[in-house]
Amino acid sequence: MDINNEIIGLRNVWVCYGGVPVLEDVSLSVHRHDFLGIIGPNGGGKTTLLKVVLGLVKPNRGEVVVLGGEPVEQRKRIGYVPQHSLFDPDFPISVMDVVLTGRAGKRVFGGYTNHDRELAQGALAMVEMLPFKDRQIGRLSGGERQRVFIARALAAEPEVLLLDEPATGIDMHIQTEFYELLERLKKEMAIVMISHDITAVSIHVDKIACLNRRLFYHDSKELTSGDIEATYQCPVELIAHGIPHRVLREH
Amino acid sequence: MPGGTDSAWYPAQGTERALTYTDATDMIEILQYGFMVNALAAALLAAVACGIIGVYVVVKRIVFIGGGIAHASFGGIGLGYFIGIEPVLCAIPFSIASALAIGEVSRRAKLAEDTAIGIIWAMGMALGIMFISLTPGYAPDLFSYLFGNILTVPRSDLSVMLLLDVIIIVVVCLLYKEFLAITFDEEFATVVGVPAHKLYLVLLCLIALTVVLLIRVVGVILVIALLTIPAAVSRRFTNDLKKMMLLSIFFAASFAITGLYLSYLFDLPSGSMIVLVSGIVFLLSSMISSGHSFKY
Repeated sequence: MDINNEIIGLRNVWVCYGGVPVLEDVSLSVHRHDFLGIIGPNGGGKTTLLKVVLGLVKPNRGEVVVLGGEPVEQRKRIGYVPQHSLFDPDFPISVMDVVLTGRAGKRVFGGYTNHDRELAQGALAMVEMLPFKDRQIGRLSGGERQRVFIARALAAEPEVLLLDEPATGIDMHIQTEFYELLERLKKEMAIVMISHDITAVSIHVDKIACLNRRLFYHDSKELTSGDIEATYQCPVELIAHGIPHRVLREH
Repeated sequence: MPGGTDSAWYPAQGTERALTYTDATDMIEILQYGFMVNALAAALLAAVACGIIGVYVVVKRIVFIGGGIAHASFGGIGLGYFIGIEPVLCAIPFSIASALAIGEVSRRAKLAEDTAIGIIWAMGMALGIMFISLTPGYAPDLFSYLFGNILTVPRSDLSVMLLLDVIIIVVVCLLYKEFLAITFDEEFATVVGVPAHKLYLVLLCLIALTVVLLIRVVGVILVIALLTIPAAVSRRFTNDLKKMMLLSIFFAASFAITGLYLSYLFDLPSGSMIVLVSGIVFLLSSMISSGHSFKY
């Protein structure tokens, strides 16, 4: 892996809130075509890690490089899919207008261009939500809404996609479709997905990291049982899904 | 002369721009006609501002911020009295300053936003009362700034209101997509490169201008009703932000004109009648259209 291929680089990053460390000495390198899952318990700093990458949280110590530059400068090139539970479902906005906000930062003053609309339509088609484009955002199921938020991120033409707990509150069978969508997207961009659901993530991603203040990552899909125990601070039983989906080394 | 409570301070305004008249009966008729026209114009001008900006206040759920800016602007009214310039004009820079203070203090001082608002809310009122008590003599239409009196809106105020409306419309047209992005999801807007915090401050300034526009109509204490009720009622009929703005302009104008007519009819204060009409319509609308069945 050469350094030019690096899309996100964190080196010895520390983040403290009110003197309490949330991220401790985190180093991470994400490359083009990576599909990385970051798992860890709630409150383990997963969302903070994404916000550091997006330049929304400034680390107290350490270095963050995104696409060869400062996060604040480069974040336009990141597609961000936040936790969908944080939205006001009653907001008077259509699916199409939500997706268009992915283009809102491209030009100050005035409305959207035809090019913006084409890209938004294309993104909606990509997530198979185009028939719902005039629907109010609150009148969609959790899974449909999640697709719309992915389309919104895609409308910005990102080079890397960051997803924060994308599968929360989505039915199992819809989750499968959702991961199929990510399979298609990963051909075009790097994907970093955080989740507290070890099993679901471990089946679909190519690489896994564990985060609970400290990050355990071996640039592969393998984690030692020691990593998982250190992350969750108790023994976690993992099911081995046959060789292709193996998370734990044979032990 | 309609409106018993109004007449208490009306003469001060009336003599100021006395109309030429030959006999007393004519004067009453002309006056009545003149100030009714002014009142209607004021109602429509106020409706445009609160219809547009009220929608942002309601959908972004910053009603308390609107209340804070409105009450703090009373400091500007008091300052106007004290230094002897038109109180409504003096309220403009003052309410903009308090809007910016609310937007910045909550971010910089790591203070909970509602705490910051509460402090600025009370400080503005306190300053206003202090300035007025420092001003020699009695402030005759103080009450109308607190509770509004659309019947005493002078013609000079109408041009100020028109100017503020034009500013609000132009800024909202230019920044419509950015305002939609930041009101729906400020964090995401920031990530895609919208200067979200600066635009949020611009939006707060527009709220401040709207507050100034509404002071004459319903007064600083009741401003919050016209900032929220028309938008909240129109929300029940549409899922589209632009339609919501047009509808809430219509509702605000209807409430103001109905309230004005009722205050004339029953000899009651206009500001409170406008607010009561709005509140009753809101209650009715929430009863008939629960379940969002009337949306188009």
